[in-house]
Amino acid sequence: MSTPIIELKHVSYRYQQELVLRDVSLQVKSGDFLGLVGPNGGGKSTLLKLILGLLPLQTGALQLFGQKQQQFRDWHKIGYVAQRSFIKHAQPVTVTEVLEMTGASASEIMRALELVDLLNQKHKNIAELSGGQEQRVFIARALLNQPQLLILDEPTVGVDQKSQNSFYELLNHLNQAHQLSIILVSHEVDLISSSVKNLACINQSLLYHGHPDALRDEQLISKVYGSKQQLITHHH
Amino acid sequence: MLEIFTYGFMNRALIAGLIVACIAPAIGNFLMMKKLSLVADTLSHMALIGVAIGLLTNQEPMFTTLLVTIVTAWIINQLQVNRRLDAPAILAMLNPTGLAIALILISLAKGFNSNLFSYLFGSISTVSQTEIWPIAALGLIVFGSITWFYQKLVFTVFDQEGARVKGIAVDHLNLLLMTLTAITVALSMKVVGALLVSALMVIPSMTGALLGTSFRQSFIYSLVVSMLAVFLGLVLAFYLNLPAGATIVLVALGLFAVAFLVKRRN
Repeated sequence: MSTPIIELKHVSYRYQQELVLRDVSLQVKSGDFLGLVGPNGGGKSTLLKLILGLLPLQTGALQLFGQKQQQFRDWHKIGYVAQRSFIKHAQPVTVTEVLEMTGASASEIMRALELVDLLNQKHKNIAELSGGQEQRVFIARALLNQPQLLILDEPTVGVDQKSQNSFYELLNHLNQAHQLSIILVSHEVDLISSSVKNLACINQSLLYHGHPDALRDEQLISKVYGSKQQLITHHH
Repeated sequence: MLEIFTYGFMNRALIAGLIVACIAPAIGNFLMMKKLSLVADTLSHMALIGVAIGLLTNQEPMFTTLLVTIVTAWIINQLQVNRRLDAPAILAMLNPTGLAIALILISLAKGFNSNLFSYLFGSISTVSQTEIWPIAALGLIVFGSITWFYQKLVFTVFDQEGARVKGIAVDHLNLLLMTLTAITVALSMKVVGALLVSALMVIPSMTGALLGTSFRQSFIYSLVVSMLAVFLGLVLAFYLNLPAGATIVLVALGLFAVAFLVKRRN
């Protein structure tokens, strides 16, 4: 049985007086493709920031690749793609430059761009790319240093349906052909349930963790999203 | 050789001007990317406090200005780190504060109005031989730091969260950028004056952004444009008997307009 690459035990988090996460325990195994879903404000991004060390752990325990998060230094093992930035910069920034920022070599950059099928766009200004292509650039950057875990925060917000489909195909390819573990955060459970291997539903506390097919329970969906909703699966 | 460069004071002006022309847009590019162009404006207003203290205490104003701008830059950085106030609010608050304190200090001791005037609008032609060395040394520190930390600085201003996750010491780099900005503002005061410092940081950077197809190209173009503006501005100011600081800024603006029209036509 493989060791968990992420292990949370009884993690809670408060922003001042407001409790955002309550007693969350969760394991992510190597090779998993986990969809982390829940309503906006349900604590998904907070959980992500705790894992990435962007927020300090308040209560509970968190281990990354078998090490305590506070002592974890192997950040090259984790690739991170943040929510799409809609801020347009005054200066042009090319696709290659986005990857160069990490200090990666030219050959590593070319390999990463090839993997996300953007080699022919390498000199383009990222402001000229479509939303889907822009996200691929950030995936390519996250893939530099060959991480073992890729974490994506709401990557397809504002991305058209066609681009979303090829985006999920790419993630599946990375997960299956390259054995890359993936955590995908989304507030749209129906959109990602056909792509991921497992789902974790969070609305302050962990309400469900398992195979997406089991998430057909209307009661559970309404518990997660706070109203009566039905799961509609999109096939990518 | 142009007659202008047979004069020692104009040669010193050109050297000081070109040093500032290199570092001002170099910093300006990073501030623009971070959406913090206003920092230069705020620091230049706060710098007037340093000038007033220097004139009041008979100390070299460049050093008292340097001290005030660096302390202010650190305070702004710390307030941003703690996220107690958002950046535009801090800058908007400090802008009039700098002017107000400087005015109070000026009213406490009368008699240095003409000196103060030169720091408000610049007096590049009065740069002395003893002032050239600290300008050159500090300019070298600023430009050297930018070159050394170039990729990490770009990453930090472009995507702070991404850089932090990649293990880059974002907080230290932000502090470094603010400190370099403070030094640049203090050095630029003599060349273009407190009220025009931010123009030399922002206008060439915007011109570079129009001309370049990548950040690196924009960065280089902004330096070239800035040096051209300083050179042409000095020559024009000399022959047309105009204030040098203001002429440099207007030439920079003219170059921006030309770049804008060329870009639009293409």
